[in-house]
Order: sequence, then structure tokens, then C-alpha cells
Amino acid sequence: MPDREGLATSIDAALTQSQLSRRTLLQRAGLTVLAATPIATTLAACGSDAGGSGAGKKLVAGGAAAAPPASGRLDVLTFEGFDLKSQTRSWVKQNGVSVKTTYVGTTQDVVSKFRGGGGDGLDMFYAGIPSSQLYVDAGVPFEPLDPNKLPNLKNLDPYFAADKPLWTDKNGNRLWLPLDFTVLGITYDSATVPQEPQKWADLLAPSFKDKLLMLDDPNWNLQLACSILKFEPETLTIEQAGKVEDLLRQYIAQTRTITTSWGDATTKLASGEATAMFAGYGGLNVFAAGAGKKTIRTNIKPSEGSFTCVDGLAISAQADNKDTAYAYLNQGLLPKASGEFCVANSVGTPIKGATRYLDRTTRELYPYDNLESVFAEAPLTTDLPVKSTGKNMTAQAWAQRWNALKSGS
Amino acid sequence: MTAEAPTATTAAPASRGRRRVGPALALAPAVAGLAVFLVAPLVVFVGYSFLTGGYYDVTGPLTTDNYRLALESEINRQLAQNSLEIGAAVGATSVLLGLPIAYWLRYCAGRWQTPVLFLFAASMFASYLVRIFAWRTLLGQHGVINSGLESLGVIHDPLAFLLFSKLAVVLALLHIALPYVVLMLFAAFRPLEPIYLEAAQDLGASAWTRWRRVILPLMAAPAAAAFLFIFVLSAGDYVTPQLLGSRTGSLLGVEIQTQFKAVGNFAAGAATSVLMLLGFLLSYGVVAIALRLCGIRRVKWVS
Repeated sequence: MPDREGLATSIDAALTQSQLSRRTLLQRAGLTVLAATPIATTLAACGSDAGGSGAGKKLVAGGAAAAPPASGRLDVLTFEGFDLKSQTRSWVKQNGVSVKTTYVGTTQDVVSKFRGGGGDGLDMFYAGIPSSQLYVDAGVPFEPLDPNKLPNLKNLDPYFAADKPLWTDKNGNRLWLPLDFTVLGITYDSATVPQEPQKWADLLAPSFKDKLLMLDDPNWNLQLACSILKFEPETLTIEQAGKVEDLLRQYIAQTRTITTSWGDATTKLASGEATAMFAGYGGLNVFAAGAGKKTIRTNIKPSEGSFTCVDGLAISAQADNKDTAYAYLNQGLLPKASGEFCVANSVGTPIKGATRYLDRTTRELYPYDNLESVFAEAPLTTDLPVKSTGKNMTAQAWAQRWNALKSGS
Repeated sequence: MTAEAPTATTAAPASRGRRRVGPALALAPAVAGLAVFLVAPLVVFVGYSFLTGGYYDVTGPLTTDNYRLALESEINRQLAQNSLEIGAAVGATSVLLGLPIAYWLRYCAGRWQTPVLFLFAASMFASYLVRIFAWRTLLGQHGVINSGLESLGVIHDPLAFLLFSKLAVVLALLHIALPYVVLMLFAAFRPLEPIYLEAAQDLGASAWTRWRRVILPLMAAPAAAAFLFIFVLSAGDYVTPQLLGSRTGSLLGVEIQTQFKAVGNFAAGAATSVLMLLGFLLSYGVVAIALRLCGIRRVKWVS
């Protein structure tokens, strides 16, 4: 990046070093103006558009998008099973790419990784709904995605292809790509819970005392509580947060334990330590079946409402292998890869044409001819803001309150 | 005038100086390591505790609010109490169990001494997490203990309190701590030759009197050191309470981890850590005073 001040200083020095006649001064001034125009234009083009008003990265008119060549190592930070490793095995082998994944337990772990200084070597990281806005506010370094390097972007379902603030920055740049969507539901063991719980309040029954699980993720539980109470997390007031606390306190009193990760939740459901989960999702059915417990089910239509979570991957602005990251993401947008991924995790696919690769159970989870109706009932929302206005609940303050809640206060 | 032959006194300062430099040089790498890996991070931590915590950030101005809030926090009080109870329980139990085991190894094991010592040492190579999950398998509602008791007809419903409770945390930490205590106490028993115990026996001391008048006074200081070591490790643990303790068995270490990882308030986490460190120093002081009051200082090893 050219040093603008240094350039200006050296031009100034060159102009003033020699003795100037009036004629020489006018000649040089004219030349300087002519020379400065392309320099200024180049400098502006090289400048960062973070927070600026430059136009977003758009497809080059008449150009063909093409994924860059891939090679080398990719370091990914995401949930287990959400790194697309299984679905891109042959492509990875063909291109000599090695994918190394560091697993997170909760969405908060991504922020703590980057802010705690451990994000330097990462090429890609988990991003999604509702967490991505929090990541942006917290300074997690998103690389604005260049659609020219993602030819398979055209495979996105129209809902996910549209530019929405949920996944674009204020310049219209897409910040991350969706891998799946899932509606949060009541996960339960059908072997010990004979009747499917129809609403979240069913989990407060005495039969679930000391049998319930909750994930130790403050934002996750807040999102669901807001869905039940019809609050908006993005504008949650301190008073409303008090009501959210009161609601969650009831469920926490029912818990056998508050689990640290989805894997741990699977272990507890599979071993029978718990019989239901507050804010579970369909993937637990599959994971528990893999652990030998085939009776875990998830009701994704509880009557008080729910929210939709979208999982995705973003490229880090600090990545040292961006080209391969683009190529890898591009592979994830293929219908076959998406279909296999969604079957493995029992989630919905945001890719057109991927439904033919879903098994019947996974395909029947959502009405793909009318996804808008799913998101109308279980909306996509954003996390709490980082900054305080004095009246709103912030992400940090809520994490503190959740900490107190789960300790029994 | 004749030159005086160098005497021991005139030659002493040079050799004393060489004797001082030698050990100092030998200790220098260790001191440097401690300075870099212990003192420097501690200084940074203490510095953080007086700054203002942001969202995964620390900034000015300097403040003592972090300490005030940490001391006023009801959760911290509860977790500190849990930590004290569990740390003391694990420390005391491991020493009470470790003493007779170390005694047996020193005086009675014979040819079994080396293999049993090896087993204790080898157990420490097992992964910490694997051991914690093994306790889950043992203590779970459908685990080995409950299934066994149900099949014997001793209970009809599984004992839910075995897992996700303080008991589970204590058992798992005890399992991890015991090999350390046994090895520490065995090393402390080494200088206590059997001849001393035989002499006490010859003078008419019963087994209990030998323990009370010979072994315990000599082993009090090493046992106290072992207790403190395990107390600090157990009270500060944050993995076992999360996996086995749930809400009732949570410890202060979990709170500190949460402050750094989930809440992102480094300053508050640092303040709680410094207070915890001061608590450990206080407990060391209490044990040292207790030993002094028991007259342990008057007990001297005679070589």
C-alpha cells in the first residue's frame, strides 16, 4: 500500500530543492496536477473499504466467475461436522489441499478466539445466524467475499441469494456463505417420553425435572427465550432481559446439567442421563443414532415459536491461503456436497437442486417449495449488540447474567 | 619478614566466593525460566486486574472496581465456598489415604514396592479427560454402580446424586490427586529408616503410639505440603466441575474461565484470579501457623 503522506512529502521536496524561476514553477505545478490524478485514483482504489462508502464487490459485468486454484493447507475454526471435510474429500485429495479444523463448542468461542489473539493462522471460521452481526461488532475479521471467485454462488436458493443485512456488510459485500439452516426444536427421547412435547412449556412438567439439558451458550438460549416472549434480541431492553432471565431460570431449574457442547449433549442423551433438551436441533437425532441411541427426536414446530439458525463459513481477512479458501467454499455450494452435508447433520439445505441428494427424512423436514413460510414462523434474527446505549442489553452484560443464572442465582 | 603461608582464614573469602558463584550459575536458568513463565505473566495479570474491562479488551483508566465487584459478588462467594469445600475435601482425603499407602510401600511392600510405584506413576500418563469420562461411565444413572446396585436389588431407581454433583467432582479429583500424594509422601518417608520404628517398638510403643509419637510428627510437614498442593490444584480446577459438577459442583476456576472466554471481561477475570491466589497464600499461612502451634518446628531429623 503506497504511503500517501510520504509520496506527498517527496513530491514537495523535489519541487522545492532546486532554485525555481516563475516559469519553472508553473511548468512543474502543471505536471504535478497531471501526475497526481492517476496516483490519487490508484490510491483510492487500493484503500480499505472497511467502514467506507465504497461500492460492494459485485460480479464483473460480462466476466465469468471462476474459483481460484487451490493448494496447501486450510485452517478452519468451526463446529465439528461443519467443516465440509467429508463432502469435499475427493476434491481435497485431487488438489493436494489439507484441511485442519479446530472445533468450537459454542458460537462465542469464535469471538474469544479472535479477540484473545488466537485467530492469526485461521483461513476460515464459523459464521451464521444469529451470531454474525455480533462477530462484526466484535471486530472478527471478515473478508468481504468476491462473487467473481465463487461461480457456484448461483446455486443458492433465492432467499439466501438475496442481499440481506443478515449476511452482508453496509457496503453490500457478502461476508459469509450459508451451509445449512435449521429450526430450533424440542429434542427428546421418544423411548422415555411417550408423547411428543408440543410446546416449550411442556418441558417444565415434573416429569422433566432433573432430566433436561441446556447448552452453555448465553446467546443461543437468549434467542429462544426472545422467540417465546416475542422480543427482538437486537433491541432488547434491560427490562425485557429481566423477563428473559425469569423464563430461563425456570428451565435451568429443570436441568440435569448445562452442557458444554453439542457433542457432550449427544453423549448425555445417548446415555440416558437426560431425556430432553431445551433449544435442541435435528442434528442431535443423527448424532445420537450414531452413538447407538436411535430414539432421539426433535419437534421443530413448538407452538410458542422458535427461531432459525443458519450455519455458514467465512474467510478470515487475515487468512494466508485465501484462494484455496474460496475454492473450498465454492465446492460447498455444489448440490451434491450440500445434500450430503445436510443429511449428515439433519438440517435444511440452502442450495437449489440439493434436495435430490437428501434422504426422505431430511427432505421432509422443510417445505422447500415455500421456505419463506418456515422463516415466517421461525425467523432469522441477530444477536445482541456489543455497544450500550444505556437502555439496551449488550452481549457482554447478557453473558454476565447468564453466568449468574447457570450458577443458580 | 617472611611471607605468611596462606592460612585457612586468608584463603576462605576466595573459595567462599567461588562456592557462591557456582550454585548461582546453576540456578540461573531456572530463575530465568521462572521469571519469564511465572513472574512476568503474573505481573501482566495483576496489571490487567487494575484496568477497565471492555469486550475482550482492557483499557484505562486504572480502577479498583474489579476487586470490589469480585468481593461483592454473591456468585463468587458461593463458588469460593464450593472451591474451599471441595479443595479441602480432596486434599484431606488424599493425604489420609496416601499416608498409609506410602507407609506400606516404604516398609511392607518388599518386592512389590517397585511395580506398585510404577503403577502409580503410570496412572498419571492416562489422559485427564479420559479419566473424567470414565467417572461418568461409573457414576451415571445407567452406569456401572447404579446398574450393579439395581441388579443386586439394593436400589430400585438409579441414584441420580452420584453424577453432576459435588460428590462426583470430589471423587474424580481424588482419583487424579492420589498418585501425586502417594509419590510425595513415599519420598518423604525415605529418610525415616525402619530402625527408628524398631527402636520405638523396643521401648514399648504400640503401633498406634509409633504413628502418633514418631511417624506423624516427622511426616506432618510433608503431609501438609501434599495437602496444600492438592488443595490448590483441586480448588482451582475448571474442567472437572464443568463435566461432572453441573450447577451445584461448580468452582471458582469455572467463573474465571467464563470471564475470559464467554464474557470477555479480562479485567474482572484477572481480579478474581488474583483474589484466588491471595486466598491460596492465606491457606498456606494458616497451615504454617497450625504446624507451628503443634510444635512441629521442634521435631528435627537426625542424620
